[in-house]
Amino acid sequence: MESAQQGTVLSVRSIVVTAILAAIAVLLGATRLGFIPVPNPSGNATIMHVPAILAGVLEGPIAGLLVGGIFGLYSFLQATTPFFKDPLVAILPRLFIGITPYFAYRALRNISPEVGYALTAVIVGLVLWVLSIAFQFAPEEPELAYAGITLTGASALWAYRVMGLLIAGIGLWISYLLYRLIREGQMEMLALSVAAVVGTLTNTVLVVGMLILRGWFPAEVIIPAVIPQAVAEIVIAVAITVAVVGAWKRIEGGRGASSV
Amino acid sequence: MQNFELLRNVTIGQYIPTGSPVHRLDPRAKILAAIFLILAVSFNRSIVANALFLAVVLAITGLSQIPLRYMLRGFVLGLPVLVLIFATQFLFLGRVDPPGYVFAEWGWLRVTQYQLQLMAISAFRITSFIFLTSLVTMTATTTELTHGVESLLAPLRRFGVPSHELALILMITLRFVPVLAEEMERIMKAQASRGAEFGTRRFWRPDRAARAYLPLVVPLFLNAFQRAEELVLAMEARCYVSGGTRTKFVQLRGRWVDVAVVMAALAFMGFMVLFPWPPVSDWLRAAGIMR
Repeated sequence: MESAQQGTVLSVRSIVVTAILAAIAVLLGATRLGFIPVPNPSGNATIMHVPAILAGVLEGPIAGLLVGGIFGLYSFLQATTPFFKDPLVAILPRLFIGITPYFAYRALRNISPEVGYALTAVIVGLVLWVLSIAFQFAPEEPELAYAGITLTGASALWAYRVMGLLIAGIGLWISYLLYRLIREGQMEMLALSVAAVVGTLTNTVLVVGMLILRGWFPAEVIIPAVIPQAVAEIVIAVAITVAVVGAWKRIEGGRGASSV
Repeated sequence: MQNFELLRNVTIGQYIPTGSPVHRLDPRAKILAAIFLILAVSFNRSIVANALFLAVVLAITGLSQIPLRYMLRGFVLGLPVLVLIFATQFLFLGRVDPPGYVFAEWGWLRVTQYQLQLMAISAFRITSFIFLTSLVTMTATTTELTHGVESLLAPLRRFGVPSHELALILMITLRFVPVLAEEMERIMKAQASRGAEFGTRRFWRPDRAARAYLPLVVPLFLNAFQRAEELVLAMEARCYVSGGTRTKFVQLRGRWVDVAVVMAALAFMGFMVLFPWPPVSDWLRAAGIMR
């Protein structure tokens, strides 16, 4: 009786899929195939977190947690990057890589196009708000200090405006992508893309946060250093997640993109 | 052709049998002791404590009779990143307020007490962690570690922790890494025969590198899922019930030495946390280096 009750936590399928996705994460790390050279100080973008995202999306949060945990344990025991020898950097943040995409995917998979359009509109609204702040911001003595470099006067104002424009550009591009996906009725693709973005950001933000909290890197250095890497990771994680799940679940792609 | 030989590069844990007392410990004792030791130093912000910890780890390394060059390999591989870490810490941590005592100041650059303390702790801690994790993987085989994890988690079954399933997951993971490596080799060769380039990645064109990855990684995942389906079918055909009561081929037997080692690690953790470690700044003041 007892054993029959205990068997409900993980199905045979969950066990096997979790194990094989974890094996891919370990393989990508061991062969260094999971590292994509990106010109930035911290070296490489990684796709080693993608198996955890896929586990979360395909098999639920527990599988996601386990794949993330095994990936973290592997990078703790085997990584040559010194700061991953700190278990609070290597293991703890990785537990969440598979959990957040599951909830993002669940939340967005079945929304109606109307809700999708409303969310896109909210993003556009946020973009306009950021822009209006960036261009209306004109204090008496504008100042922008970062990592010991201080801009004052008109140059500080222009720096704020350029930052506003950059954020607005990214926001508008994202909302355009969302709009296209919703118009084509590809809610599954939309949910998958957002899940991949959420999972990648979970990894990046938590690991970088732990690196700063634990004093391995000062915040002013690592945050700008990690941005090109994060962008590269997001793009390739979305591409892989959508391609793999799309092909596996045989989702009808608009341009037949899921043929492998 | 060297690029295609993935299997040779895949090493998960480098077990180095020397038959030392450390090797003969029960894997459960090794895991528990390693966890206690890591906890002992993870939150300690004293330079003296971190230095002592490194000495203890080095002593255990000596006891394990593992040649030092194996231990130093992990250290040398990480050296470029270590240099980067210390360079950025030296450049930027001097600006963090409150700086404590300021040793020297050249314009923007400052050498402060806070900065030196953090750098010293980082150096000791990184070295100890590298040695400690190498010790675990070099003195225990992955199979031993898996059995150890299962046995340690077994009491948690009452609270719904699927200990046996977790061990099974670890086993399947370890078993499938070489299988998937072989698969990956095949995919790479298949793509290369169709004209894909792997060796000529230029680091300033990451978009190309990323595009070159998709035809490799997507088939790898799909192939893995296919294998997973087959394994699920095979297990269900043999009436595998997850969580059923089962016997095991490998039986772990702890000895009193194992218990003693775990107790010693626990006591050491308590000592590291509770002992009032003297701040190094007192000694520097006494020596007149710092006011």
